[in-house]
Amino acid sequence: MNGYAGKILRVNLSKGEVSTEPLTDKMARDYIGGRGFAAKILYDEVPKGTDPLGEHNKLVIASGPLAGTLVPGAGKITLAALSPATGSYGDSNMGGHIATELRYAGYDVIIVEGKSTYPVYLYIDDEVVEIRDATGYWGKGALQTETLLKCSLGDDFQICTIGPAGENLVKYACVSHDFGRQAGRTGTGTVMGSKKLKAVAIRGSKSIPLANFNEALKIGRELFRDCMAHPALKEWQDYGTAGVVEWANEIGAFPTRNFQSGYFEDYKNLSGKVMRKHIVKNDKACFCCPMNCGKYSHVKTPTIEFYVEGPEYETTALVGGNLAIGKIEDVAYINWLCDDLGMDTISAGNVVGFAMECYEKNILNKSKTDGLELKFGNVVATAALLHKIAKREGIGDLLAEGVRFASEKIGKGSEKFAIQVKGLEWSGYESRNAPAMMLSYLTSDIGAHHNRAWAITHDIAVGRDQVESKAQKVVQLQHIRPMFDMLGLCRLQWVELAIDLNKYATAFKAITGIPYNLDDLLKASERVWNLTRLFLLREQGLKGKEHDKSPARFYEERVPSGPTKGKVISKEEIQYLLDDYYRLRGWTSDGVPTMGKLKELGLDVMDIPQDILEAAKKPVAVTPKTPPKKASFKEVPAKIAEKVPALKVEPKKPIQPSKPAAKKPAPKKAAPSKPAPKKPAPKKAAPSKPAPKKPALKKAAVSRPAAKKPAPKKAAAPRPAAKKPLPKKAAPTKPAPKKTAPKKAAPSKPAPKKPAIKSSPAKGKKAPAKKR
Amino acid sequence: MRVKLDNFKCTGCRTCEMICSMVQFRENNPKKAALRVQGKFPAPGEYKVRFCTQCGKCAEVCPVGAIEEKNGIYKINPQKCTGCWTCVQACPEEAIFIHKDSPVPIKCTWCRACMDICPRRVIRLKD
Repeated sequence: MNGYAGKILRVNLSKGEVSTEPLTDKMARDYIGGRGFAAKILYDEVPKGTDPLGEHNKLVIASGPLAGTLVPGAGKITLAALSPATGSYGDSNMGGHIATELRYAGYDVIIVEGKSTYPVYLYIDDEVVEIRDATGYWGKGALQTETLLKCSLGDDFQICTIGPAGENLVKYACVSHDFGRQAGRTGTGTVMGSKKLKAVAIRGSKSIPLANFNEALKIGRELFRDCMAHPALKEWQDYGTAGVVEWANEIGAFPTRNFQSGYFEDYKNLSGKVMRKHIVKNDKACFCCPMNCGKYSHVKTPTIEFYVEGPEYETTALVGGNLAIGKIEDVAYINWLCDDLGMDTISAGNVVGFAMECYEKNILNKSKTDGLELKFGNVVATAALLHKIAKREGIGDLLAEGVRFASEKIGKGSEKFAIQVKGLEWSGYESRNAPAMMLSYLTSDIGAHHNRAWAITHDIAVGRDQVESKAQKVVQLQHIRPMFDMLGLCRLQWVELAIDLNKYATAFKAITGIPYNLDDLLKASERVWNLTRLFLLREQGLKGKEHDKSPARFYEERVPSGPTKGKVISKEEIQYLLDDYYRLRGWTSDGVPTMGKLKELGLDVMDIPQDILEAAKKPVAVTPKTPPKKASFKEVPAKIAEKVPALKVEPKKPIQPSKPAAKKPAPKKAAPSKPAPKKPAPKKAAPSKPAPKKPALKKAAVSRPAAKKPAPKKAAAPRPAAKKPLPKKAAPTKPAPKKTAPKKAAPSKPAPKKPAIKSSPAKGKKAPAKKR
Repeated sequence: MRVKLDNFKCTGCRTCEMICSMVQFRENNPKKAALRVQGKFPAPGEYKVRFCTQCGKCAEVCPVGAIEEKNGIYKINPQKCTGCWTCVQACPEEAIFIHKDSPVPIKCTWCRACMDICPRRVIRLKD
């Protein structure tokens, strides 16, 4: 089989047996690879009602046909299982070099089943596959285990391991590889831990057969040339994903203090530039990737020295902003700790943030936190808590279950700020003012994860208050992005360097010989999406929209600070988005794929439980004719105004005036006008706000960041004294010229409104130009 | 020494290995490449490229004279090579490789495909 290694490796840890089976042509054509294979195998082989941590759950490690070929970013592998975090299909992908090594060893997929009675690791050297004793590695950190295994097996082995968190069945344990690449989400490390599988070590020496060698070489070189020619490449090579930190704050999407806000006042200390200057030692890339977004950092202080890959954007967001840790070295430290303990930094940041908010609201006190002072920004307490979680000691035992379970157990209203969907903690974009991104999180098949549809740029491009047409983009992205996971590729080259999607289809055709075009690949992606939905419905039951439910915080509390200050998304808007989404997907209003859709995708032949088949007979969902937007924005503020003061982050004053102001201008103009009226109102408190908008229009694309900087700074000023240094640094740079403008703008309220309307599309244009 | 290696720029992406195997062996297999990227992790977190500098040491030690020089480029003559791997051990750059499919060691033939594709220009001609 061209393009595929052609074999599936099946390892049964209960029996200690290893076997191989051929990969069928039909499987390759219908499910392409990676996540597609994983979904199909898990749906077929893991029966309904299986315990995620039991013997009958399976771990699928699969890569795609383009991994290990000359295509930029060809180094992705998917790890999937029935997720202990969500109780449904869960997968996570990682880069590095293990995907390619697996394929060079002659396997497309490893299926790990059963459960060992003692710690083992899997040794694969081409045909030699052994289940080896790992008692000596058990209890050791993930980074340490990888180092030791490399020493004993050889440097040319590619290794993925779990840390103590995985061994102790923390629900968000990750699988680490290459000293800093992780398959973090959905608890794949937990499943490995439950099987007592400490590590997988692979070395391969075989070739991958190509259908059309010359064509593959040609398209590969062409794709590399395209990447190298793109102007954004340099920035990515320099800062990696950390370069997004500043932008995320400027648009107010940076999770801060357990998602209370979308703006972190100390964000400048966490930016990619600061990181590069202070801690980055070297650049690190996955296989065949010209972008080298991995930043290898070295921190040395009198008390500690460590090397860590990162922090990546998501880590900086969830550990930096979400825990209010405003120092890059501290974020790197927590990153390193999570890596070595084997915990997903996204979920860990979210869980600790949740615990901190409970502590802040007095739901948890010192007696319950084992004496830890869980205040936002407390690095020492965070580190101590992470150790407790990894070892499941004291409060760590509860928090190791994830925020959904922990909030149910703790109660006292903490469910409202348990930021998760389907049981998976929310990743790094606060989306109250980004409906498409919100919808993307709610409908993602594995839970609140951003990689299925990174739609926030679309929100910025077409208007952030508008809900119409958002679902369409989300559906489109949910087909394109998982397609990369199926091919075994990284999607960043497409997202950031604007590589033509059709070229990937050309490469697929040249490598596998399967005459698919882009539409065929996207169809396969849709098939997998529907299959994972069936998986969810089978495991978690028919709960209608409950599956895609937003945390209450996002529709009950307004953003207290930053560029999106005062924004909220109403329940009606969420309802509208979901209905629109279900309709476009060909699902019923309860989110069940209709019979027509299942037949269209060839999924009707699968073994589908009777109750789902009954539910699938209902008609396709209908989008409400009129979007709920205006009504909700008038009504919601009144209810919410009472709740806002409860937040400690921002004083009441700026929000109260916004209430009347918001009502007046709202009816005047349609969707895009809304961000404008709300901002002018708090101008009294922070006069600098209107000004930035005007210059932004005139200066056009170049001044993107400048527009939003001054306003947040003022918001930051009244906060704790410790944070003063930041505004000081920032102050002399830009606000000066702008202060003159606001004075003119502030007194005449109507004036700033009009330009503001224009400004939102203008911003939209800017963002895509920078390819964020 | 006609090449300059800026190892500090290397990111370990191994595109050079990939293109080398494709151009030299017409196979999709970086394990059959005439250069290697070696990472030293977790500390000090650096990469090093093992790359042939055409120094000629291999030709000196070859007991059967299978490594022949032409225009300053040393190539292994597979007809003469006996597969004793003396050159592999003698190479000061550790840049001659063995693969179980190939009885003849794998050595750089100076096609320079790696220089063209390296995204960081780690390997370049000295001028």
